[in-house]
Amino acid sequence: MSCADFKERLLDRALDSERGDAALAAHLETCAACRAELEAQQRVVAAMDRTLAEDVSAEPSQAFVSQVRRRIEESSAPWTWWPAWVPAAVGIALVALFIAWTLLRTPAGVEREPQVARSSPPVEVQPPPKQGSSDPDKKLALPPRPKGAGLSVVTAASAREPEILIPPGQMAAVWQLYDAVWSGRAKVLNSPPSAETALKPLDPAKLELPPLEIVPIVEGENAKGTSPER
Amino acid sequence: MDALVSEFPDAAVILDTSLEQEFEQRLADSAPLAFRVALGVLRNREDAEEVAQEAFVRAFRSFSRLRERDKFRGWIARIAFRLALDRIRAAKRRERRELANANPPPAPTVEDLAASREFRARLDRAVDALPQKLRIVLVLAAIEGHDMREISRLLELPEGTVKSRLFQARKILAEQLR
Repeated sequence: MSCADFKERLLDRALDSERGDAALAAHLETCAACRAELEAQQRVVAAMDRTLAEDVSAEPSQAFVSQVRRRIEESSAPWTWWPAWVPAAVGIALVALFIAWTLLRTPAGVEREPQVARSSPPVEVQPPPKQGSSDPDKKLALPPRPKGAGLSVVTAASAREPEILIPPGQMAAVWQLYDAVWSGRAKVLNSPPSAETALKPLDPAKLELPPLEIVPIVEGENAKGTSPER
Repeated sequence: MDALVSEFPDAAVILDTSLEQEFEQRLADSAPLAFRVALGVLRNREDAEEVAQEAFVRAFRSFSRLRERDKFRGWIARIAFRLALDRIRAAKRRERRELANANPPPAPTVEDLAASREFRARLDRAVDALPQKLRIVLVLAAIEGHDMREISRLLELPEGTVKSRLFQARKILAEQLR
């Protein structure tokens, strides 16, 4: 093998003196030129390694750590230490709230599915006994619906709500009533009806309500489907 | 850090004191490493300090998310290395423009090379031209006390890979310097 064949291997040997290469070692024994070349390359590698080591031998300044602290304080907000899941949780909660709000806010014209009394007996209103009444069993009767009136609903002030059973097919009317009350077109009184407090009937043409059958409770008669006095 | 606490005494902030203390400890422990890695790339003390400090600021922001804290030294070394590369990129472009306009230098002897500024300039250019994966191994190996095992641990690479990459890096440099 000629010197040219060992040229590349000389550099490998210069970079790693422990690299085993019996053929190269044998050649170096007999070739002064290659030995000189190897020594020259070893000097270059040594100078290279020394320069690289010098580059990174310096210590940071005494103020290094304090400067890092200052930069952190200048650039950090207190929320920096919040766990990573906090912003994500807040985001998810906001999205959930938005979805809930969107679902609960039914657009106008969309009939909502009733949640109660899908098939119930006819409406029975059983208000509580009038306060101060001598006869607690005496039931309040709804005032007669004025002729031509659409609907007038009055509930009695009480610790418990009146029990209303919705007949099949009447839920749309109930929802419209609910909307009317909610929007202020109808009002629920907190006292038994009187001539002064009775609501003015709503315009049936506007409400477009089917007639709501209200059966006044006859005293002494236990209405079917109603619960006893609580 | 204490200033933050006193400034926002009533803030609904989860201020993990133990985390803060741990970061302080890591900062003191790893400051020389980050600085030297940056210096190995930038070869300028002021720039290296600034880059290493920036590396710690970034590390602080993400420290709470670092699951394996014992890998902090390798983490900060890589951050400092990348920031230093980013910093030097613009300077490198300028240097290339200057070199393109300069006359080619005469071929010096090996001895002259080792002793001259030209050697330094050629070495710097050769190091700058190294692929990143070789360069970071070279820089870490140049830092005193870093053997193959330590570099392997810092970079989370097998020792054989580290050794191979270091040999490759030095060979490329030596070829450029011949």
